[in-house]
Amino acid sequence: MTNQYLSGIPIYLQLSDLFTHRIVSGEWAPGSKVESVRDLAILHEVNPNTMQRALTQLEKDGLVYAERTTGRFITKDKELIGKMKRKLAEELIDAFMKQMESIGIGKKEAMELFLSRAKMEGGEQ
Amino acid sequence: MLTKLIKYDIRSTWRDFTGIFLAILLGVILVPMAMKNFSNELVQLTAGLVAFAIVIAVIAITIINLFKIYNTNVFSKEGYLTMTLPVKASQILTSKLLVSSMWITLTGIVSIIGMIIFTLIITPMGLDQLWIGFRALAEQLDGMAVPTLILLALVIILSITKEVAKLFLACTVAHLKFMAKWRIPLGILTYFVLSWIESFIFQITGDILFRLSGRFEELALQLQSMAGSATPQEFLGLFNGALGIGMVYSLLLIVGFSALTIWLLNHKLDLD
Amino acid sequence: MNLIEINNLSKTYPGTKALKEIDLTLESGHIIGLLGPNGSGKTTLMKILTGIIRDHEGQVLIQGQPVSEKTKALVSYLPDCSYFSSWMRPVDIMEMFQDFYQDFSREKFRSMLQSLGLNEKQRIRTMSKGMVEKLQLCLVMSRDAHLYVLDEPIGGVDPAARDYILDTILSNYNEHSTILMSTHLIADVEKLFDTVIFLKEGSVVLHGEIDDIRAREGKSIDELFREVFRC
Repeated sequence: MTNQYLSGIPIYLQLSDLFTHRIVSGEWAPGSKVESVRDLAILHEVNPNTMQRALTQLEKDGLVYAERTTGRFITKDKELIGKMKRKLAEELIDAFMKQMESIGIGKKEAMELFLSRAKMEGGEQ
Repeated sequence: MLTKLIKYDIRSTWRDFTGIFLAILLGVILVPMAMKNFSNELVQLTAGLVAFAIVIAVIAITIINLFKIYNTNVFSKEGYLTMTLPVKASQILTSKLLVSSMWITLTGIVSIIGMIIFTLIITPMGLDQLWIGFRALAEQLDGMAVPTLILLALVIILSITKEVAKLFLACTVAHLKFMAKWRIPLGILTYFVLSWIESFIFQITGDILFRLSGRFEELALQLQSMAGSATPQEFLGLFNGALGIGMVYSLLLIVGFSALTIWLLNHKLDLD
Repeated sequence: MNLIEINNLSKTYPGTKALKEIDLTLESGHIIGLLGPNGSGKTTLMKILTGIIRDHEGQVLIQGQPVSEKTKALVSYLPDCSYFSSWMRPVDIMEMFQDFYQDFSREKFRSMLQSLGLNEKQRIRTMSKGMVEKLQLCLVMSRDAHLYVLDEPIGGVDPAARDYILDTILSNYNEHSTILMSTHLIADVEKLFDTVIFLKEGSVVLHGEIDDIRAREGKSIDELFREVFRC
């Protein structure tokens, strides 16, 4: 049981981030049933209360909803998922730009580098 | 719960005791046979030594098991199991007292049987003589011998149980936290102090009873004259009475020692 | 009703005070880490909860009752040492647990033994230290107790067994029981806890939900521990 979680951030947030990724990427399909808190906790080797908090966070974000008797399900709201996808993408871009800046590459140069690289990748494909 | 505790207390000790019983029985068969059939001095000496060794072994194994069943089971690492079982301290102590007494009684019975066998082998005519003597005595006492014998056996067993209860109490006192380094000597000291207190109480009670007014002096004189000219039956009756008092005395002490032990276990237990 | 209520608990030994006026309230449905350096009072506290130490000041209530044979039926204890008699084999101790504990499951015990590669019929006195620790864990976890008190459950076992043990602890979790666990290997085990208690020289210096603490302090419990208990 190695510790794969970052230290300064509550684990439940790291988990809800991970699950958000999965929902946005489609790995957890819209409308599908979410495994029980217990099973998820055992699978990810975390405390069930922590896992519960992570899922509650997802509910707050609207990505997951709970049916009283049957359990939790991924939302079918494709628009919401799309919005979340965009939000994540924006975060990634912000992080990218920040990192570029830290090595002295400004936004314009970063964009040019990005485009030429993307073309190259595209060409190779 | 008590029966279950007894089950496991027996399980932890039966090997040692059945071993000792076998040793006794082997000893009482082999030793006299060796002594009878070989007049060789060396063999005689060895046989004698073997007999002596068996006696020592019996005493040693009994004492060791007494400690195993209580001291080790409660105060060593085993205590982490024993003292977390969902049972009362009184049940734990009762079980150990009962099982210890049972084993000691059985050892006594096996020893007596052993001695009879020993005698029989040495003097094969002995059995008949014994039996004749027995019958004569029984006739004389007119059937009162049996209750007396039973009472006598009970008094002995209760007396042994009382000593065991005293031993357990001494062990428990020895494990009080402030005893620390001096545990063993203090434990032994406690045992003897308890014995001394016991005989002290006995003396005082006897004294008190004796000094209580003329009524008792008269009774005492009566008893004395009775004892002098009593028939065997009357004497037995008195004897039974004395045995009865002895039993009550032992029982009271068993209860007293046990109550103290249980209180200590419930309020002063501190396992290392 | 709280699972555990500790009021003004103190334990004094000649020369030291192992526990100093401890107040703690713990509820069911948690996995709690009891952390602190050697000598901080963790084991003493656990021994008091399990009834191994009866001589103390203050009050300890388990499900509203003082420690007694009734609370022992609710508590499953894994001590830091082997408590078996020399004559025992796993089948014997299994029978004993079956006899004394209503909440013990033979099937669970047997299957755990098998998973850990232990032989039911082997004399315990011939087992290695690691094997005995695994055996004791199987016993403790095969009970459906209200309170599990585990004193350094993963200290002496190999990493593979450690994972198995931690997984077992996780899967034993349910809302009406609480697992109270002490450990030195905080980094490995941290994510298992939802609550953590720091014990320093007999006093509680920290008690709270892990996620809150991580957010507030901005560091893992392991890092915080090193800070609080810096030598």
